[in-house]
Amino acid sequence: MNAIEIERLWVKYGNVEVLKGIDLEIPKNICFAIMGPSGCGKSTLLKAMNRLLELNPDTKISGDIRLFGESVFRMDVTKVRREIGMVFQLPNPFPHMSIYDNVAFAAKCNKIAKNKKELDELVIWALKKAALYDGVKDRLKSKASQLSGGEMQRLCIARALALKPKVLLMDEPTANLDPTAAGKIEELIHELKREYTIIIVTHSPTQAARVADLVAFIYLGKVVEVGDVNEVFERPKHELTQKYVTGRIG
Amino acid sequence: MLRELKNKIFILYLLASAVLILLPLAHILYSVFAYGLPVLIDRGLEFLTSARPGGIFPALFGTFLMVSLSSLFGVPLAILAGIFIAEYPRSVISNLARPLMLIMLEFPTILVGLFVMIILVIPMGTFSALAGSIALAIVMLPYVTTYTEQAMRSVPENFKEGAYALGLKRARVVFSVTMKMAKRGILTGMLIGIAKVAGETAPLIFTAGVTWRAAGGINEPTGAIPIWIYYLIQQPYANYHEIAWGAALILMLIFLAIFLPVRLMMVRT
Amino acid sequence: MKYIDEGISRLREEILKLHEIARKAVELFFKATKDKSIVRDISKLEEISDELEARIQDHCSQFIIRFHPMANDMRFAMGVMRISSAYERIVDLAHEMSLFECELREKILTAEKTLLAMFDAVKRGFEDSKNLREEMISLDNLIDGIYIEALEEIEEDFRCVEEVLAARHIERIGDLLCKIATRLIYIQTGKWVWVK
Repeated sequence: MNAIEIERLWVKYGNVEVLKGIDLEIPKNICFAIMGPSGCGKSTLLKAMNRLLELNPDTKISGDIRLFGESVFRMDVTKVRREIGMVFQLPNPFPHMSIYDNVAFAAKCNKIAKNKKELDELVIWALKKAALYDGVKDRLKSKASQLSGGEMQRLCIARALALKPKVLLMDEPTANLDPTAAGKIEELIHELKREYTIIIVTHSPTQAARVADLVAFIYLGKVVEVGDVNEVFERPKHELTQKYVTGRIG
Repeated sequence: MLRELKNKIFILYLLASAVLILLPLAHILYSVFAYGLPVLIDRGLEFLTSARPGGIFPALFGTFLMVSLSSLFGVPLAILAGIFIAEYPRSVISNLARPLMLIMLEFPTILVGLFVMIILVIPMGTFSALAGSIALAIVMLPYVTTYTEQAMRSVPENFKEGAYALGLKRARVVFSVTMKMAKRGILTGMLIGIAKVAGETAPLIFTAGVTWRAAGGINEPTGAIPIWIYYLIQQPYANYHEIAWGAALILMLIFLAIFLPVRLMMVRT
Repeated sequence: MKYIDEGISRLREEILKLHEIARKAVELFFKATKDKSIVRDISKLEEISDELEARIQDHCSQFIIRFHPMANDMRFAMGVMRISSAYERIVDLAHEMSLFECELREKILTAEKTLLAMFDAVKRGFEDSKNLREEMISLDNLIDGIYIEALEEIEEDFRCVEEVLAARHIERIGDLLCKIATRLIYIQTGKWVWVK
């Protein structure tokens, strides 16, 4: 069964059509990259999956998105967002909370852990999974705002993982990080994709080449090509894709 | 050459304007300190603690009492209103509330006093600290609400989105995330509101009454420092004028004690 | 980067496998001179090596496209592409020789020990190429010597043209192994040295 299936998804902001009939099948336990030039609707596509688009009342959505066969629009929205976690372009840990609380807070509210002991274990587990534990184990109570950019992003990954999601959405997660920190995140993605389905939006085709197993090229709100990463980057089927990966457009 | 001259004249003009504007404020500060400080030094602590003629304790107590009560009534209400307007900016209520708040900021406060007199003082049959507090709360409301709304709106979308993406419900996001991050702005609004009403005179005239007494209970007429200054100045006795200056200094010190930290806090952000 | 290291070790595994196949093909050729039934096995090896070489080329280009390797990683990926072609050529030559009908003289068959020693030197060179150059030069000189002596013998006593071809092919295999060694040294040190 595919992790995510998108069927005839149309998204409009007011009168502007951003996504024009998207069909995608995303298998589980891989890294699926969505690439394309700026403004082509990649982030919108991602935010449609965890129903974050609904925060903006001007958005009109039609079509279906299914998580392991079940339509996300028929599920309780907080359940959708628990099962489909999200990491943003600009790392956004809660600055007024400690590192521990950042990971624990949503897990507590969503009743993932039953008592303090379970919560402690969950926080440590999540931080280890995000390759952050060793760096912060002595200062779990210090404020999250004191972390570096790369650490903040890994903290965001940890707090998403603490909710035990099945799918992890990443919206240009390394766009605001220095190359070393970006490299650590990419290495983490290689680790995580064995257990989770990772869907990453990236404006850098080279990043898609590095981390992804399957790649979709989106242009002006439509899917142009989807395929194995080696195929798309060595012998793309569509001329537009070739122009994009060779840097001629976008 | 001519350009240099023009430049210099322009700068001189700017300087002169700035000095001109600062002059009245400087003069007020100077006068209050110059006339009030000797009174305080002369009469010592007794000035503040004594209820006998010569001390201003009742007025001091009254001010503190009514400012506290008005905060108790007004602040929670105003904060919740500000949160609502920030979270549902397009609702009918918000569209009405926003211009209303702006109007109330500039509203003649004596009319607020009249309003409270009509709905509370006359039915109760007496001036009271309660009525005074409610009038002050109404004056405080727009300040706290607008600052709260601003603070809530200035929390970056990024953090709110992140909170929702974690499966948190709206109330949780608003109170545990957005509001906590807007804490500083909300606090600023609160303190500015308090500083404002601590020095208000007009709303109290028809509600708390112009009286010497410390409150016997909140349903009794209560004095306040601004009212007291107003009363004392109108008396023919020089002694009373001295007390008035002393009280004015106290009022100024209270105001500065609230306002300066608030301003410094705002500069830091 | 762990995933780059994993890519490199996978390429390494594959090229060493091709090395073993090439060595086996040469070893079997010399055995086949006494037992013709072995020729079938060499044909099978030739098929396998063709397919493996194609796969290695694919994997190398994918590795380069996806991960943009730098420095020694890049030299390794590019180098393996060339080395795999050389191995495939070696297997071709061994296979062709095994099909010769004519019986080859003793002189030519003495090359067996030296050739196999060259293979082993190259395999050690994949780990550490420090002494590779000296070893290969001395072994290749032996092969060259055998080649020249064989040609002289043939000139005096001509039996069949396939003997000349076989001597040539053997010398060629030695050359190819030297080229492989040169590339290994370049991969590890970044310097071009002649192994001649």
